[in-house]
Amino acid sequence: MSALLQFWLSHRAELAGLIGQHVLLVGASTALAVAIGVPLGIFAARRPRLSAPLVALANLVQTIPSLAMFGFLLPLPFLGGVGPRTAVVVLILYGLLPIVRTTIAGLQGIDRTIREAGVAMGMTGGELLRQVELPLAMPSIVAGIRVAAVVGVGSATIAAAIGAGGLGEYIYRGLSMVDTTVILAGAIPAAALALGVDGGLLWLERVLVQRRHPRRVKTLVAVAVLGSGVALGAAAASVFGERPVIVVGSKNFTEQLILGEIVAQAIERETGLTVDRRLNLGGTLICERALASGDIDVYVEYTGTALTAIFHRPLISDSSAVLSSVRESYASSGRTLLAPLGFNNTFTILVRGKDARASGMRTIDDAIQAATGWRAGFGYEFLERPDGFPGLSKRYGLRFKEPPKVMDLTLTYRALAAGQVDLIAGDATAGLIDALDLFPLADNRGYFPPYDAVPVARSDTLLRYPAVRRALEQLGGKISAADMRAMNNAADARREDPAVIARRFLEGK
Amino acid sequence: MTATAIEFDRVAYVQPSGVPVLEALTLDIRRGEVIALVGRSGAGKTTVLRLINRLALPQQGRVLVGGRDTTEWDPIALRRSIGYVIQDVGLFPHMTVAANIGVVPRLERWEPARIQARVAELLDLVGLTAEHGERWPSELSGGQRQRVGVARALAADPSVLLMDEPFGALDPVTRAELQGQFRSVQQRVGKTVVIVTHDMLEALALADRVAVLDQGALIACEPPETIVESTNPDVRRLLDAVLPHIRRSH
Repeated sequence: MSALLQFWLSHRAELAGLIGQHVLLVGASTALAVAIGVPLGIFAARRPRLSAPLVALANLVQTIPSLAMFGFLLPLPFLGGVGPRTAVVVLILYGLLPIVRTTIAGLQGIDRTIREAGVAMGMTGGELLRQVELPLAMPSIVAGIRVAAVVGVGSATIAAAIGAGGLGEYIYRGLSMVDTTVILAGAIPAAALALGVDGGLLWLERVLVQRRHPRRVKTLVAVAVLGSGVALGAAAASVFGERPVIVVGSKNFTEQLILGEIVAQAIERETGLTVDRRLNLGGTLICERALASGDIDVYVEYTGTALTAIFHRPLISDSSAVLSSVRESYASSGRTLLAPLGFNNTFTILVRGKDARASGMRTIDDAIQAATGWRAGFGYEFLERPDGFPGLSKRYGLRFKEPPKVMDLTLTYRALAAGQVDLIAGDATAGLIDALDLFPLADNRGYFPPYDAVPVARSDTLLRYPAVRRALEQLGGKISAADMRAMNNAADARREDPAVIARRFLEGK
Repeated sequence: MTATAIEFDRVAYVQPSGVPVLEALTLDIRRGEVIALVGRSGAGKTTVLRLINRLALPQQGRVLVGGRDTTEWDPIALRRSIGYVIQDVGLFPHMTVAANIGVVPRLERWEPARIQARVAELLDLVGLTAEHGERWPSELSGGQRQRVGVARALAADPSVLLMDEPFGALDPVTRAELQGQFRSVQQRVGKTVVIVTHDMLEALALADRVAVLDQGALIACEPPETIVESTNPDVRRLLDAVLPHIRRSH
């Protein structure tokens, strides 16, 4: 608990900014959902044959998981892309259902006699709507807005996956760092925000039902409308406003956050251009689409991942062949693969450091003899992947005392250090390798496919800013696997800020 | 100025569902008279009111209001020139009593001060106080709501007032009180009033003429003193239901 308070205190400016972004996202999207949903509900309430399919459609939209929805929208030209715009579109789509439904219910629930009285007194359709139908349906509509806003506060946390900001930033950061404090630092204010919005709108709903103090309610509604107008304006300004010159992206795990910072700071130092960071994007595909659509200008990809996940080619183990294949594929789609950073984040076979030192083992070949008396522990994925254990044992003729144990990947490092197993397959750049004194055996028969880390940038950006290309090329070969392991360890074990780690690294070079 | 305020000329009306309601109704309503439409449920009484303010249009024949066919009237202008006290009152629950009474003047864009004065005048006319004006409809008794309904219908000083079962849901004492008040109001304002009721006694007490509708046809239209002598069996049946009261009142 005190760790949490400390985190908030030391990040208070950032926290305030994220809460502001969150409120803005939800405020703007709810206001727009009202602007679209209420007229839609009015339209549908008068055409019963239309209202059923409309509500069914809105229902359908709401069943789409939000991450999938972001995925659908990312490649679209105007609505999609990385950043708050896509998030607002998704949140509007989710908010529509409750608002349309309660608008229809509110209007259809009005006593026929009352509507008839309005018509008989000579109200036009518009006068009847404004003076009678909408005021009477208002408590029901506000109930819908309340649901939309509360759902919006929750869904907006997912918006961080596409770089829209908000409290989800902390949640994603905490998840990638496996740090509960950081997760809570985002989750608790988000929950409090949801409760606050719920309570505030519930109160408004009650006041509207009681129909007391009409003047105060009018003032309140005016303030709310004004407030969402301001939020809308601010959001529009931030969405359509001037974008910083260079946008750097990254995926959502520790190593990527550090690499994103290194790339961003290198560009800042070398070129003096303004750099906007869209770090923590939710995965390879989101980064790829963001780069293709121009929402980001550069991020660091791994050659093996680009080959299989982006370009759908079979994996090959020759690292220079993979590099040139990926470089060519990128070039033909307007992107430029720069110089590899110098490390390969592939699978690596690990043994205890003291065992390696005692027997002088350096390569997997050196371990084949001893392995017949060892136990091995692997993550589930490594046991199953074609480029994992099945191929490995075939290529090297590796045999163990008993069939390999299956366990969570992060647990295998500790199991090895504790002597529960004698050999594991880990990530070549995992910070735990140094922290637990583990030794990576060299893949001397070249079995593992290469996952060389390489910055990939939009070619048009490099043409416009040649200094950016210079900055990125200068990083070529500068980061060894040991460097990366040390930096990952600093972030994961010592909880250092990726920006600080990156600065120290660049200043040391 | 003709003496006829509303004229039905061989009017036939069939509901959208296909049920015939009126067949060849011919009826002249004179300026300033109170006419009561009497008949059993489903006799077409409410339809007559709806035809007058163009909530419905006849399939055959013509309805003339102020000498003009309702099809030639702008429906909004027509309805604003006619006061309508609808069945079950239909007060707007989200407006105060004063706001309810001021609806049509507001639609007509009167000055706020003029509306305020008019509302005060009407509250007084129907026997309510200024304090009642501040209340919500849900805070009134049934009788008070009926009075507000009448005040609302009179607000923009229409020349014609349509009343659909205005005292229908009230206890006998309140009803008698309101009927008395209606007569005194009518003496002062002198509107053309079409009042629908299923209660012959009420019709006899309030109206200058009683029109009896039966299965979509007008079977009698006479002053009360003539109608009580009617020999028409359908009229007789309606009279006999309330005859003991009539005898007692003589």
